[in-house]
Amino acid sequence: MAARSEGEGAVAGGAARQERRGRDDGETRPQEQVFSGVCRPNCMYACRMSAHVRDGKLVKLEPAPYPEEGYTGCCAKGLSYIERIYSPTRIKHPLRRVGERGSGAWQRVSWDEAVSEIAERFQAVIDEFGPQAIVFDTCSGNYGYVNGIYSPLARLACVMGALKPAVCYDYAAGHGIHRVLGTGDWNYCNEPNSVIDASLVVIWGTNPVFCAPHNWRWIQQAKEGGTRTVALDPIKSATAHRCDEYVPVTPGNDGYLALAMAQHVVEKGLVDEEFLREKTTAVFLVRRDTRKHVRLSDFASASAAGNPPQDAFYVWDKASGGLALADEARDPALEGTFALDDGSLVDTAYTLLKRELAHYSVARASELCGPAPETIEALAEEIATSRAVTVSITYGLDHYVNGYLSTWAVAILLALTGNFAKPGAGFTGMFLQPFALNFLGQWTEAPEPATLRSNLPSGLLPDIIATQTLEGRPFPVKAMLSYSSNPVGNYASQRAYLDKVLPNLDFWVVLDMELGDSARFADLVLPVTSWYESCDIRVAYNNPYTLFQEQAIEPLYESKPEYEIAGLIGRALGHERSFPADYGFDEWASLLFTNDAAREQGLTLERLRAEKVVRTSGKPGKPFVRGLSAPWPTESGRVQLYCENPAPRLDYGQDLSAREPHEHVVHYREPAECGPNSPLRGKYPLVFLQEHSRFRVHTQWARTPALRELDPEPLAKVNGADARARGVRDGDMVEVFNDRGHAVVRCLVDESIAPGVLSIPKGWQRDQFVAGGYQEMTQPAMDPYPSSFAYYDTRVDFRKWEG
Amino acid sequence: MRCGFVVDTQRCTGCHTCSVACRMENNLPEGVWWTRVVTVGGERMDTPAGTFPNAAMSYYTLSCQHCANPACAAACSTGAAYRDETAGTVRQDAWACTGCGACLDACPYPGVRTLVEEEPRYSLPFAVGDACAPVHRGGTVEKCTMCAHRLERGLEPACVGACPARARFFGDFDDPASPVSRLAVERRSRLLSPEKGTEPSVLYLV
Repeated sequence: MAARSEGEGAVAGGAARQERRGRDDGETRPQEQVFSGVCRPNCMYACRMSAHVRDGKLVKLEPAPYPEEGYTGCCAKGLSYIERIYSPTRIKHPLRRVGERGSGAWQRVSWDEAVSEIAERFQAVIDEFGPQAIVFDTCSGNYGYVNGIYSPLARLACVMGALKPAVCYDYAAGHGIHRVLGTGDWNYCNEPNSVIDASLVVIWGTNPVFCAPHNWRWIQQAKEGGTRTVALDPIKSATAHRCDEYVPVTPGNDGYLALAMAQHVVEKGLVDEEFLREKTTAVFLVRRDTRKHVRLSDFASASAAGNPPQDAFYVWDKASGGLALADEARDPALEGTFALDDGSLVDTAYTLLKRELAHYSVARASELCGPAPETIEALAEEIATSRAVTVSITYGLDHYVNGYLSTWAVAILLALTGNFAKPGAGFTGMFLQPFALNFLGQWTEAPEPATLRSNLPSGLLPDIIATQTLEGRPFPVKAMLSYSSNPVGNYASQRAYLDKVLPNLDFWVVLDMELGDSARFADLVLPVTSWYESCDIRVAYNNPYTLFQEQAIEPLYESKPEYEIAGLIGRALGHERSFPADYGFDEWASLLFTNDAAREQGLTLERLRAEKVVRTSGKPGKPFVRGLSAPWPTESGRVQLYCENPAPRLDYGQDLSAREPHEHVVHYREPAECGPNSPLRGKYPLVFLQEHSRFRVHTQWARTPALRELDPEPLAKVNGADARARGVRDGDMVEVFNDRGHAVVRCLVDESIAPGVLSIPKGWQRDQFVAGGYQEMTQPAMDPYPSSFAYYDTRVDFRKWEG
Repeated sequence: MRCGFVVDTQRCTGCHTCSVACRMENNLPEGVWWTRVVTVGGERMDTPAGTFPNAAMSYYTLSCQHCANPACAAACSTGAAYRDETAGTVRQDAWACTGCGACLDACPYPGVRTLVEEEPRYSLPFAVGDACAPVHRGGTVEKCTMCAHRLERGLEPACVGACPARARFFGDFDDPASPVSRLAVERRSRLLSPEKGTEPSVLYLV
């Protein structure tokens, strides 16, 4: 544990009257060591921290500097993490359940006993059902590369042949945008400081003031430089209150609003046609018979004649009156329907898009989404004519069954208005670096055969485990190991987990620091170290740096880092070769630096350990902008107005044949439950949102004393009109309910909340409610394309609780 | 010397990071907050005034105003509340305070000082924050020291560097080159309850 020291020497007497000190009244300041660290929950940031240690205890956390000043800073959660490390609720040693699941009766066991039991139980499952009947469940509790979501526990899954189901949180946003930008699940946002170059920032369904203060800081700076800000949200959020304009919208219909604005832009002749011709697939032709683009491979002779590097795309060249390769055409037609020599008809991609957009109107958008027609038109025209428009999003639009259609629509609106691939234009909100460390290698490049089985959406697990089938086929799942994850707290439709998973799962191991909603129901609980009790590595989100976490303090009690736990279980199951007994942090971490990306950056474990923070993406002073700082990763290198090959994020054998023909051109589909035409509207008139709080990240920090003093209990926030209609007053206890479950909670009358909306800020544990829990009511359905939870696609009602 | 703060209410997001930084740095007992966030709007935290969607909400932070003419010192019969003319701050001597509460009644800024209960309770079983953080004595009134233990070492108060919104500034209002003096000149600002004549040393940019 190397660290710089500070604070040697005598205390200077400054004030006229020296007030007596606390415990350290002497002449000499006690020795203090300061370690470099990084906060890493799933707030989509990575605050660099200084950890002050005195007498072996972590006594203070404070923000540590990034080389670029604007990225420095942290929040109240990061500072109060000390209270989590030393919390009386910390799990001190391995625990074995002795009573009913969830009864709270535990027996202390040794690590040897715990590991032996896991190995025996897992081996029994493997012998009877095969290794794929064991699930390794993980998520975003800790974004470490040696502990947490990227840890070698995944290697254990791979060498065992166990399942490591794909996470189903927040994937719809990226799935929709991928159809336009080709940016995969996550790589669609610009660097946060890019907003400085924007003339307009549209903050769409997200509340960075609460949830992403690191990103809001840049937006505020842009505001001070003259950038206009507009917030679209069903809630007048803290962010909306600080924007130049707030546009209230109904939940789940953002896609319609975006497409109506797109249609208005088309009608007004405000489309950026030069951008469409040069930078998008607008001019590409689409065959009506195959729904594919017209490409070189359609013509065998042409393919044989030339040898282009790709299966090039054809356009209709008005200059020659016929087909021409996109790069060779002199005057490509932006619109039109043409007949090929074989008689088959083709349309330009833009023509197909315009044909779809013609179904949308500002008048209908106003009815469906809420804003006045002139507000919608003005915003559309501003997006079209402003110099550079950034749309700041995270997952407000994502959390509906139609979420991917909404983000697809917003991306199309930005494409039509030329708002990509230039400074200040595009998406921000969750910038992931183009740089990556070789965590996949850490998992799969093992001495034994290793297979990553991760194509199963984790959101299907409740039904799979309840029925032991998938898509009608037998699919036994008998045991599970959860790490860096709290599925009971975070999966939509909590009762499904409690009522379907728990009774049908033979053995559940949970790794955690505290007995959260998942660990409470486990059969065996293993205590893990906090972020400051082990070394680690973090490739930051929302800034361009990679950081080293120094070990600041010894592991508390009997807790162990996850890489050690992986080794213990791995060796007990006979995987000594993949988990050598002498593998410590350095051996595991070194595996991460073996890819080309690390080599090109000259990044090694030794360098990162020495420098603590290294820029790994982009260039200082030049914000990384997708499509500008690097080419679009689409096959054509262009922004796509037409999705030639709509593919699901995860292929788990689902039948999409009826859906596929309709997935090529952007469109609106009503949300599953929260829309105005839902048959549930009468029974459950309120849409249930779960704002993300500034006091928690998902279910972390739910029991932190400093934060609970400020924000003591769960609240159901409602508009005054909805409260009055039910005879409820501010401060009353209410029961929020639907057919899936309920939560009993104190009511807060809050005029930030629109009539017809009820919000319980996210992240509380079940035992913090009088009864039930906020996650019981949420929508269980996922669209099979993005396979992503749709929490907000939920209707509820509430009544005064007389309990 | 007249040390003080500037709080930019255009930037303040009401995030409580200053409050928690202060609590940790100064090892504050449970229930004691030396700097708080005030929601300007509804009665409850993070709620607006008005009716949706025409509702309005903003924030400012409230801590000891380190007045040049402190009402607390005038009201204090033991001399525990006093103005430290060297540092230009207002202090509260835990060893002279009897907990009579006269300063609580006299101070026009409710919530900035707390009467600590007889047995202060802490969320952690050991002292956190700075090694020279102030002692907390049961039955006495305490408040922001402007991180006197940090000023002595040439450091700014903990709340300033912790502010993720860059809304807090610290300096000497008697020094025209200090950031606080410059902001006082460059920006529109207001004081809290200037009519009370306390001459507060916290300036709020509006």
